[in-house]
Amino acid sequence: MKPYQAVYKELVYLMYSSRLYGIQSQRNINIRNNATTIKISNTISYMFMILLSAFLSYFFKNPGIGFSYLAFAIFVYVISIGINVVYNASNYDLRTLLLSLPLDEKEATYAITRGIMDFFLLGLAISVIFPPIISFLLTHNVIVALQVLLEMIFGVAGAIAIMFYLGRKTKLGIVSSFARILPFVVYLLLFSIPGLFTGNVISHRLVLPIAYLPVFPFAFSNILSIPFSFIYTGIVVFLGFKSVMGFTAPRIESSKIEPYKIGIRGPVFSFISKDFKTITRVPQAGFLLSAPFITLMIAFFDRPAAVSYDIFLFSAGTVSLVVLEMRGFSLLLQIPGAVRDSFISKIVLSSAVYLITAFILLFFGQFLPAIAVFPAVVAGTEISLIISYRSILSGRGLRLTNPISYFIRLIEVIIIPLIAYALYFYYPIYSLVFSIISLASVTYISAKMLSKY
Amino acid sequence: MLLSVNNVTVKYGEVIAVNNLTFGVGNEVYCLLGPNGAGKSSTLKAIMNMINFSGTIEINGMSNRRKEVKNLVGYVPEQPALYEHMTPSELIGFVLSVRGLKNADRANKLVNAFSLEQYMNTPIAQLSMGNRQKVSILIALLHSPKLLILDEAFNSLDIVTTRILKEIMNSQIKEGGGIVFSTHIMEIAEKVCNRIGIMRAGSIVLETEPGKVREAGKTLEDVFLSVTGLDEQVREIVKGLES
Repeated sequence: MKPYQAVYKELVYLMYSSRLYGIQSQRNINIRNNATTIKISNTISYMFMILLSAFLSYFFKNPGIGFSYLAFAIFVYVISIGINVVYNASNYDLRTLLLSLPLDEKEATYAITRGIMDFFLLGLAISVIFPPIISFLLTHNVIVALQVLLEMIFGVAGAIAIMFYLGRKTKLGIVSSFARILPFVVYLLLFSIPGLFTGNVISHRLVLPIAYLPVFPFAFSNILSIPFSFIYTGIVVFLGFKSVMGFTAPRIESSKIEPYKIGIRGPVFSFISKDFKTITRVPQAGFLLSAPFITLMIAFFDRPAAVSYDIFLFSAGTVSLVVLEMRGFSLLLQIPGAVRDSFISKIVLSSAVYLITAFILLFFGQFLPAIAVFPAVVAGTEISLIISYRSILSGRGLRLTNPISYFIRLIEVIIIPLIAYALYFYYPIYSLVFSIISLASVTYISAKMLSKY
Repeated sequence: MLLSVNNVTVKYGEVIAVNNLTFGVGNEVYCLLGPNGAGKSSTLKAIMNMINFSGTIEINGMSNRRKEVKNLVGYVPEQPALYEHMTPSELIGFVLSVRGLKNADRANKLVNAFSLEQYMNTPIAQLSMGNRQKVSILIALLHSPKLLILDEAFNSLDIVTTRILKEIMNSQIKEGGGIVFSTHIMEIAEKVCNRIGIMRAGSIVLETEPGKVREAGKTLEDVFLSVTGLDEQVREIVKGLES
């Protein structure tokens, strides 16, 4: 077995057991099967996304636009699954054992990076190879195929760059927190523009205004777009390389004598304060904080779809909320009522962020549907948390590196808000009633389950 | 009895980690001594009700499955389980708040005792293993628990902190409390424990006292190897190494 294969298997084990959460695994973990299933499941998911994008390319007669959906899907997928992988890799000492073997610093770094990348490598390779071939078959144009190739490299390298950038060491302070969120939002914006324009503009004119060439050159197949695309792709590949190197650099303990203060608050408020601080320091969980920015951006381009995007973003964000507890999870089990308070805190925090986005939507005439589905969104968050808490407490870990399990989780979380949103168009009051009943039922079940801790 | 463990069994799938274990702890330091995989950590986790087990465990006369019991116990896990992205000062404040404690005087004293002042504003993720272990011990002591559960707590500690922890253990006993303490280091077990339960394959194979071992003119290591049946195995291995 090669060192990177051992790293990959260790990461699979961490994901599929609760060792990282300070809780011993209570059942035998079949690492060999999980490690293989993840790769097969990845390949199937990527092939599905490629076929969908190929269809869109054919439909829009523009592979640059069509495959931008694939690049966007890769970005969302790599970040949402990658945050859990990078979280495990950054919070577990993989380096010491590797360096005790006859491996030098470079080889150990390679093993860790490759071990992390093994979660995505096959799927990403397929995504880079197939789209240019499909584009050529659709258009018989080499320039279009080259553009799509550059676009896919741009998409993949950017997703990897941001994934590793988010996993770097903790820095305190609100400025560094925003500095982490910023590249994430910019990248998302870059990929969303062609997608959102497709909905509003392209469907009517089938041509993107030339003014957008510097923003997203991949949607154009002309002589000007080629150098732009090369420069953009080159920069992102370089940033990706820098990001990977920065992530795997050894961490040094620093200390300076400063006055410190131990603050004491009420139990639930103390949890909210802890979760808020952590969410600004753990970018893996900070996905949720970027929701108001993204909602604002979507509302600008595609007003009617803003609420549905918002529901999707929230559901994807809440799946990873449990990482706010991290290794401290076993600490919760030592304090009476702490598991319940931790649960309440996350509901309060995510609800507050959702209400901010609802307030933003007020300026775009979408406040009422956003508020009508609010209780259903909270119910979805409760379902997401209770599934994660149960999984960790029973020793099974987060189990989200397999894309199929991830999508199943996403469906479990999103189903209630989506039904509520669909009902809104039928009769708004039904939506509100359904939302409130769902929230009351889910809260009752959650409270019952948490009462024993 | 501060702690009474009755017929406790812990299983991980088909593997039996703790097998029908029974022992009790009063106002004393009770040491679980055993080789790796003997079931020491699983026993301590069962006492903390952190894993599924069968049998009964009572702390101060109450089932350990009751939430109130958590206020009577302080637990130091084998690996520090802390919020890595918080600083020690934030974490200590958080634990005091969640436990409903209003005063940080004891916390400040412990920070001082463990020489953690210069690390109080550093994220825990960036602390060395030794300093993380100190924070983990400090957190377990904040609410002055009646029963302390220490799982290999001396791991990664420097000489000064080891001595301080021993003193803290002494005062815990003087104040009427109890300690259950797991280790595989014989010297520590001999020095700090009142009673020792030697574990192998999930069961206690011998319960003894360091004084009795000394009276018999033996070392704890000899007794341990003999009752666990590992002496023969050790001789074989040494022979193999020599050849």
